[in-house]
Amino acid sequence: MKTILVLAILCLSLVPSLAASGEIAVVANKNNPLAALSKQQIVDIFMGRTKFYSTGQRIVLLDQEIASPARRDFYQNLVNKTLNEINSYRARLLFSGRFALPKEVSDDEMIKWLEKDSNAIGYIEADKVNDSLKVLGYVD
Amino acid sequence: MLTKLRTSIATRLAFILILAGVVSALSTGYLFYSYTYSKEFAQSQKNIRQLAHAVSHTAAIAAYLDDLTLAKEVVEGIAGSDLVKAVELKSTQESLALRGTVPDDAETMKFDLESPFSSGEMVGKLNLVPNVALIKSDARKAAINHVILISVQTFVLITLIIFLLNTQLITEIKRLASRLHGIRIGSEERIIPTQSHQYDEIGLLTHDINELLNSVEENINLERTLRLEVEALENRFRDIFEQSSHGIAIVDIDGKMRLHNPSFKQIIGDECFQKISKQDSLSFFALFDEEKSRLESAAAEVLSSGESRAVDIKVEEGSQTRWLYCLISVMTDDDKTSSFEIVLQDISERRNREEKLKGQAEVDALTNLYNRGAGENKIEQLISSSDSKRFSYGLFMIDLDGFKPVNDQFGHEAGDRVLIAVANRLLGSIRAEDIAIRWGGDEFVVFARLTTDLSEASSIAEKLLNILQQPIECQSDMSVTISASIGIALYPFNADNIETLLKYADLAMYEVKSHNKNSYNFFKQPTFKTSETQSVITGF
Repeated sequence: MKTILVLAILCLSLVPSLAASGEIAVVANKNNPLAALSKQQIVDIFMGRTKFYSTGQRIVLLDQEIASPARRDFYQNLVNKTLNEINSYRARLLFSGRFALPKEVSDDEMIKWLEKDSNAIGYIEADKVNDSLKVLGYVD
Repeated sequence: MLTKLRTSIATRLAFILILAGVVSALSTGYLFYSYTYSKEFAQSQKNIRQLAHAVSHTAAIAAYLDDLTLAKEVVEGIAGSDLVKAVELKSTQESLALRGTVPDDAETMKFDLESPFSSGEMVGKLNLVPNVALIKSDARKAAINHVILISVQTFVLITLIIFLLNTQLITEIKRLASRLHGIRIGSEERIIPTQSHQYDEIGLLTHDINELLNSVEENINLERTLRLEVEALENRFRDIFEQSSHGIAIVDIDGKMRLHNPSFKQIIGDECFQKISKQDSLSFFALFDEEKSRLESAAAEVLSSGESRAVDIKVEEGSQTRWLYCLISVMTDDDKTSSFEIVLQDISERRNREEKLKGQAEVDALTNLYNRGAGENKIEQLISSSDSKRFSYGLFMIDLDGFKPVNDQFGHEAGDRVLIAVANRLLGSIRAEDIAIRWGGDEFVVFARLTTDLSEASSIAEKLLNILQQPIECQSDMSVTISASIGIALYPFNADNIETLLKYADLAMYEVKSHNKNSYNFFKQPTFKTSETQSVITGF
């Protein structure tokens, strides 16, 4: 009994830290044509290399809000770069006119958007994923 | 130019310096050229690499995204550089942007483009063709500039060195050389030192040269003075030699004449002079036959003892007799060879006068016989001369008997006549080499050689007694008869010295006188017994 109690306390104390380490899920509409993605595929999509689905539809990227820890952790874990570096990279692409900046949205807005738009891809902290979304992969 | 190189230090130095400068400029120029060229070339390559590196990030993004716009931007940027002739940016599949033509050869510089997000993944290539011609020409230009710079620098440096050498050293040395060249050695001229070089090596050299000139002048003056002194001395000696009334000659050890003065020739006479002055001539010492041995032995003695000797030599010239005083000295000159100095003086006049005076002193004025002193000398000479040892002599002491009565009765004049007659008879009865002496008063001595044996003395005595007994005319128509007592001592039988001989003859004569007179008596050697001695002396 005592042992179970100690374990429970330990587990409880571990939960927030796990959440803080930020396992982030790449999510999309249930009808999105993509299935499970490798990390390289996720990088290519979010860094602008892969712009279209095989169907010819344009990929719509969603970003978390600029100040959110999820956005920071996502890029850090994905390409090991700070947000500043990501911004500078994207700014360079803007001049060629062939790249559109992802829409910046909150968690709730992201979920709603993804539920409506089957071409959109976004990311969200793993514990906030609900059944209405398809998880394409995890970034940690 | 070649002569100038040999004779002028400045020209030679300038030539060598210019040569060295050209060689050094050429060699350093070559080194600098190749160094600068390769350095510039490498620098260009490096610049291109840096250029590529500067755009590599953007190029990688362009290749990653296949972004033609970005690729074009990159390529245009690089193509703006002169160093690059052509540029191509390729993704893994296709060429994204191209400027110029990019051949696939060694000259093309290829840079791999790595994915900006996943290390190790190559997303494309950036190919650059360097503008080699431009790079090379730039490098060459830079190298040539470098070489020109060095050449100019070398030229300026060498010009400066030559100029400084010329002004600081060569000009001064030239000045020194020409000044020294112009100075007459032994004169009072000196080199005036340059103010600016007073304390350096040139100044020291000038000072030393002047010191040298001083000492040379001093020496020359000293030598000149000495030479004048020697000349004056020489002249004086020559005058003494030439004008001396003494004949002076230098002959060598063999007697060959080497030098003579006029008086010498005059004194020995032309005939003799001819004999010794010719080549292969006679020795001086053998010149006079009669005196040859004396002169030669005197010369030998002088040579061995080193002291001078004087010899009176007699020279017979026809009927005339000349006497020469000859002083022989030895001299040794610097190279140790000995020679004789002969000094001659004609002493004939003095000698003849002396002879005459001597004759007068030796002769008894009345009888013309030797007087006592001269007679004694003559006897002495005879028995001390070398050949006398082989002969015997008899000494006859003669005392006239009955002379005093003639003197008393007829006067001194008659006495003198008797004495002269006696002397003449004595002279007439003895040989030329025998000696007759007036011993004093009416005493006479005869010293005669005994040619056969001792008994010859008896016959001589008898002969003398006989001639003295003959009558003597002492006045006109008046003759007297006298006799003599004779004492005889025999040389060397009785004694070998004149004193003893005279004493013995005297004793023997008194023996006769005290007995019978007009007789002779031999000296008898006394025996050692007193009584017998007495009887010998008294008894005959």
